Amino acid sequence: MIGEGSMEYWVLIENGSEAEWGLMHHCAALTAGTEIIPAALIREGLDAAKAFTRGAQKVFVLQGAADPRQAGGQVARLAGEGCPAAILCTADRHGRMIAAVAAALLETGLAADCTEIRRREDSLLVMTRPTFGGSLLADIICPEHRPQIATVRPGSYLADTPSGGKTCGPVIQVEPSREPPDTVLLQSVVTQAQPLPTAKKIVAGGKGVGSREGFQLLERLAAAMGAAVGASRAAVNAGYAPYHQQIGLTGQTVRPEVYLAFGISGAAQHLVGMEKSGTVIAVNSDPRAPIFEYADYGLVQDWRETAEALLQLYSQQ
Amino acid sequence: MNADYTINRRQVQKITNPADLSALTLALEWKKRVGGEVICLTMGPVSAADCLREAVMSGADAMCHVCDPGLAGADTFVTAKVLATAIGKIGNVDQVFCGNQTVDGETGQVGAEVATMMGWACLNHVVQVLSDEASGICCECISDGRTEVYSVRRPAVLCVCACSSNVTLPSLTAVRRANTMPVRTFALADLGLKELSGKRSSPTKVCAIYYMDRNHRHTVWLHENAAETIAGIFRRKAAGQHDR
Repeated sequence: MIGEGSMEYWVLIENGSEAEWGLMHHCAALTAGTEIIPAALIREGLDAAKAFTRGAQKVFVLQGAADPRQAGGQVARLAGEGCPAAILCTADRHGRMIAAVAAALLETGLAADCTEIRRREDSLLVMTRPTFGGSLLADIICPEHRPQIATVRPGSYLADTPSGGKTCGPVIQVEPSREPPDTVLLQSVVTQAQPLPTAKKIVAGGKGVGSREGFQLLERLAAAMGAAVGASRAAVNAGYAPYHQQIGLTGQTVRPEVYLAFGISGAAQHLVGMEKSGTVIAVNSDPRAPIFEYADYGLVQDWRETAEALLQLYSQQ
Repeated sequence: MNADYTINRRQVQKITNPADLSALTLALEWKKRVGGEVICLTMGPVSAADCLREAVMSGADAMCHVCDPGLAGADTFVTAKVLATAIGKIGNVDQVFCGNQTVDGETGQVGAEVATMMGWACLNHVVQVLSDEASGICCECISDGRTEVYSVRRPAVLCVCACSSNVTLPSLTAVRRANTMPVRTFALADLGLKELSGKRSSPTKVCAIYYMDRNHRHTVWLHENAAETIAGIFRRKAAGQHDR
């Protein structure tokens, strides 16, 4: 729809993930000192009180289980009545679909996979996202259509502590989706004991690792160090590592406390995925590898020599 | 990048989006299983037809190209609207495979928007189509540290991750076939979308582009005892201590 929209920003909390609560916290910060009301749309079963402590001033409870298309329809129907000025979701698998369904139904704009959301003086949201392989940033606006919808890369905003807001407020029940589900989950298997987005320690390999067998060595090392395993896009494309380990623009975004990179050159699209890491240690036999510009510690050495030395150290302990 | 922040597509090296190649791979495998024909559809400038021809060299049966200068600057909403309309115009389409995201815009939402506009089901992050059951199509998907199997009702748009590509080098026959096959081209008027404009109809607009101001870090170079130093950093982090 085109128009002003009401004075509410909504944040979708579908899973109760850290990334979603972080987004709620950021939305409260965005609207602080303005007349805009930050509201949480939480899936039935999640804690409304937590939404209030994360800064929501109003909570909508989305009743019923919903697959992403049903959820998108539910959000769109609610938005059709409530006319929020903006809806924010995390850009995880479900959030991306829910936002896209809602945007299509509401015939409005969607800025996806943003790394930053801020407000301009004219109160338009500026939604920033990396583009063109991660080498450029684009600021997107949705000047006329409402709601302005954005999905935000998980990990862009975190909230470890409650924002000190009120602990209660209006809670509105939203009736379940009227449509039957499109998808039915038949099986779910954990492939990563430590999902990359929340891993505190990551050992990652690039094309320089050179083989699937090389990655198996890295996996043994990561297990010994209590770290999750990641891979560059080049390594995945070469078949050395599975896609679910990919870190970067077309993979996952990570922000571990320590990131140990073996044989990764440091292409822009990879940096986008890990540049918020606490401490970056890069091992590469090429001293001119771009990754060294973004590493706190650099080691110009054959990756295998370093990995085997580390594995030996850990196995002695 | 042009001055108005639209992409200057003449200067960019043209490659077929990796996720689209994966989508094509799954579509060709699907055709082997259930028969029918694989039609490739793209929206883009004249040069986008090259990607269509590459798809035919890999085994696709027909090419459709939506090409109109008025579409320059189209955002994902306009793109989805055009593609959904084109699919309707092609007619008798049972299944849509598309890439989960592109390497230029990387938004990952066109597939789901197309499905919604057509009233179809949609499944994203697909890596493999497992089987075709009465209740729906079973697909393997990946998300957030899990591999999942979903059944999705028909008809569906399957958004495929850029990891399943198995496109082999074409034979000479295939190359000849691709170069002589006609492309079915649609302008906006052919789709009944004459009033649509990439720049004016797009709800979202780019208002600034800038280079990433990456945080360069000051690098400490390791030499002797590197392994011990690295292990020490990991140990300190595990204990919640700050570095240096």
